[in-house]
Amino acid sequence: MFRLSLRSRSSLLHRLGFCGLRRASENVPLRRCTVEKVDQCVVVRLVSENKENRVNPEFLDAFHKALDQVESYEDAVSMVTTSEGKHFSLGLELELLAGSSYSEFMKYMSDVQDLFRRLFTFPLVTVAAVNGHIYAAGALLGLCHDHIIMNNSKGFFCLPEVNLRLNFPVGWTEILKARLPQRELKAAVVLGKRYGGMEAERAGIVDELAPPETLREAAIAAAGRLAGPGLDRKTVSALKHDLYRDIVLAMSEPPKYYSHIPIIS
Amino acid sequence: MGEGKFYSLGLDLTALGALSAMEMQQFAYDLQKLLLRLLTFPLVTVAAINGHVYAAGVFIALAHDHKVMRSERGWWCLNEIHIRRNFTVGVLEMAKALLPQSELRYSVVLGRRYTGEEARAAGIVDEVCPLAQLKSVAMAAAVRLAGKDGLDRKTLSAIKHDLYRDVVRVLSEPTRTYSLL
Repeated sequence: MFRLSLRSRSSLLHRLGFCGLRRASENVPLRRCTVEKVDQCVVVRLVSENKENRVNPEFLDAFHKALDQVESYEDAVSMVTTSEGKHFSLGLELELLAGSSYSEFMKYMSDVQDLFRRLFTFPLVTVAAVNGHIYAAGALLGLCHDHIIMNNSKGFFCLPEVNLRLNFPVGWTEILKARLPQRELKAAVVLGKRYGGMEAERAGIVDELAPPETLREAAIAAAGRLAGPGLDRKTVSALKHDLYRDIVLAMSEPPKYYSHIPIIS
Repeated sequence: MGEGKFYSLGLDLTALGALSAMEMQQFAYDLQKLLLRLLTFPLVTVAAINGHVYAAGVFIALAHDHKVMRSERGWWCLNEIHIRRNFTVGVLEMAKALLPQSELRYSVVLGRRYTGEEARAAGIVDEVCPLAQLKSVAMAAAVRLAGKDGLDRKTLSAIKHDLYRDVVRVLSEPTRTYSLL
């Protein structure tokens, strides 16, 4: 059972301070969410007020609305997801984890899993254009896409959970095992290794690189290469549901952990 | 090994369209039995891919131990997405077990087309060579893999059965798909 006592909450925040993470302010609204159609590709740009693009309720809501809009374009065959500035996404809103009751925690993680599932089975070709840091749940968000193109000079790919004394919920490691090369699993998942863009591409963690100035164009070009103009959405959806069957099932279950570790203690 | 431009383009959809539902069911099951037999064959198997290899043809090739593909012409492709079909459970599990994990989403979902050289670089086939040398390269590979004294048939078959146990199981079951399309 997952319980967060007052003592645990302050301890986590204390640890956040040590890790040098900025504390997010409450109820951070999305500063900008643009959905722009470029021929048959739709570019979704999400930028939060503090630019960290934390996967919090406002972010999830904005993302779902953007996805609805993308799906409404009947001739669209691909989607590029990106952000602006230093970060692509830094992951979960850790303050929300620390400050939540059990049911709030379950709701939050369940909503995150819903977004992962929706992205994994999205009926269009999905490309993540990683403009900056892609950390933790933000990295998982990127891995939900068909293709990851990262800028070659700024930002790191990292799963820093071990350093934050956080475990991965059940099903999240399935995503990591399915999308990361097996030889990188120990370094990336267990030991929290930080990969720059070039190293990530060499390791097979991201699929393509581009200079930051031309990242958006390169992502749209990649999307065009991967998606034929006559792409059928029902088929894409069925194929993704079948290939990622275990992940879809895991993301549909209530959030839980294999190992209970005293992550907040 | 095939002849001419094609190794195998997969199912004969026109001919199959003329079958009744029961006949289609039987045919699908027979195809799975062939793939199963190939996959667990008690001899070393080498696919000499002389040309285009698409859809079900891919799975026939995948069922072999070693794949040599022609380098200068011919494509490798799981084109199901382009013809709006999905995969049966049997061949999908074959793909997951036998294709490199990093290529799965490109080949299975997005129907990416690979030349012989691209397929080798991606780890989908094991060797490439020009058509003129294809047969001899394939035979040389077969001899090399079987070793000086050959391989015991019962053992080879048992190891294949065990290594691909989950795939064997689904190939032995009636044809079905995970999702309805």
